[in-house]
Amino acid sequence: MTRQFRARTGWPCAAGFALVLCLPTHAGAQSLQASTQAATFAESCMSCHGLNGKGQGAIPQLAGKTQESLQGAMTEFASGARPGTIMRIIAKGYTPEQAAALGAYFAQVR
Amino acid sequence: MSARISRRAVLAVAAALPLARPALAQGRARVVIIGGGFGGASAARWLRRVDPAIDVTLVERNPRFVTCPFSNLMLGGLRTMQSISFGYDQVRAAGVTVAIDTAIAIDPTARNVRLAGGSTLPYDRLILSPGVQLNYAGIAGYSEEAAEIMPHAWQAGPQTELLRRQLEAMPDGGLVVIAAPDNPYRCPPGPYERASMIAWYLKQAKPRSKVMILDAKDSFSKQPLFMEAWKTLYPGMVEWVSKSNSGRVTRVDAKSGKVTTDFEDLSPAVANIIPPQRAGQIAIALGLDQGKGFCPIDPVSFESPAQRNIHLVGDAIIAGGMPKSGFSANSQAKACAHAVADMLAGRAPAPATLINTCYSTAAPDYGFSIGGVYRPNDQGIFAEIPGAAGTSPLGAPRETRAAEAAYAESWYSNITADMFG
Ligand SMILES: Cc1cc2nc3c(=O)[nH]c(=O)nc-3n(C[C@H](O)[C@H](O)[C@H](O)COP(=O)(O)OP(=O)(O)OC[C@H]3O[C@@H](n4cnc5c(N)ncnc54)[C@H](O)[C@@H]3O)c2cc1C
Repeated sequence: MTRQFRARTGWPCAAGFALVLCLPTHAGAQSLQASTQAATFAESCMSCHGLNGKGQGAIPQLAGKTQESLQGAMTEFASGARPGTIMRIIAKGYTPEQAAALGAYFAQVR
Repeated sequence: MSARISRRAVLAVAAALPLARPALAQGRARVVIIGGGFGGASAARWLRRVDPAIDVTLVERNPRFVTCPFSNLMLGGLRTMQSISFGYDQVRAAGVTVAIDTAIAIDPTARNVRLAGGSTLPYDRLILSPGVQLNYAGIAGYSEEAAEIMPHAWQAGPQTELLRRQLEAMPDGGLVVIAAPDNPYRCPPGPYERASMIAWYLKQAKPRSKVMILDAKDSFSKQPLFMEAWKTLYPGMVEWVSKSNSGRVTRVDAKSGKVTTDFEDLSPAVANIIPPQRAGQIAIALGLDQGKGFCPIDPVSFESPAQRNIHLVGDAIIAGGMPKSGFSANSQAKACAHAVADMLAGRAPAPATLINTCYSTAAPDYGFSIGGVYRPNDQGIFAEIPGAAGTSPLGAPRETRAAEAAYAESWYSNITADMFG
């Protein structure tokens, strides 16, 4: 059983996310590392936004939003263009590529 | 296609690594986790998701876990005990074997854990998230028995209920003293959120009363935000006495109810004494703290430099810039689950990006936060990513404070669902 197969069964969305980050790399080892790393990026978001981005209450859900809107929100929080609270700080911790990958991850959660 | 790339990747990495793979040779890999709180319950559930082929056993002393997060809101009357208590049914449902028992000894050579109930659990890798133990000796006169009269309420449960009963029983016009410890300790903003929540309760029930924080340090987390909140919400009710102003509590006498600082003797109606802390005893007993009180780790693998195959997360570790919070423990647990799964499969773990956010609730419609994003740095600790750390702004409009109070509630629902289902 490969990691990504397991990821696909355990976590419906992880495989797609891994693929996004895998595209620019060529060495297999590197893409595996990237996918492991990518999964933990999205998992940290879930502590506030809920499992798979489908949380309860006032914190916005991320699941099923478009990649563009999620990536755009990260960019605007980071630049200060969008008003907000803690996301103005947290968004600064991610590169544009990472924000794009996070957007892709949550966009394809059903 | 991606599956094929991935299979090759696994083989390539495995071939390049000198890591032992005993688990794979003998069948299912076995991971034992000690501590079913923020770090341990998270690690257990996430490890099952990262790799369902791993056999995971969680050892926890208590059948129900009472969260320290929101226990201050219970003291303020905003929450019931019931609403901050969780069982392990959904941890079991995730395929974790839950042993309600106390781990009393670890044999790192034979790789097993002995439980008070008599059984011995073998492991390939062990994860410890035992939280903190209270160092009663840090304040003269304080002890586990004295805490039955002067509660710490720093491990949520009966202690939280005792403190609440004392607040309910005290007369209007009485003084509540909170003794806050020096760094490092569990939940840096915790004593100040507690002062706010107690003031919220007193303001309705006993408006002539006061809260005094006697501090063993000269500054604290989110200080300007707390000061602003106290001035706005509870003018004249909350006083903070810094260490330089002789705030440090040097002695308590539970019999007479006396609390002593370098400057004076106080006889408060309620004394909440929060002593210094160190890593949970099971970690200290094995020397994992290397004499430091908290345990060093490798921030990529979470493995102890003192013992191979033993990983640590949560309050018990030295985490560099990451504060000792439930959020940090949960974030570390997820990264640790990946690292442990990788190492069991003979792969090298990758460094993770971790988050912390701590909300403080000063009134039902008044919250604020501190947060940061962290990566392992070349000194082998977690460091803030430059620019990605900070607090809510001072002087924010009340709508913003109300929004953050609602975010705190939402965060609590979501993180407890992450841990306990
Ligand atoms: C008043 C207060 C308010 C707080 N508010 C917040 C907040 O708003 N947000 C936030 O993020 N954090 C908050 N925290 C901090 C948070 O509670 C801790 O950081 C978090 O609990 C740490 O997780 P842990 O897994 O290290 O320890 P814990 O959650 O304490 O879990 C440790 C578990 O291990 C068990 N255990 C220990 N030894 C053994 C053994 N030998 N055998 C079996 N079981 C054992 C214990 O019974 C316990 O259940 C607050 C803390 C306090 C005190």
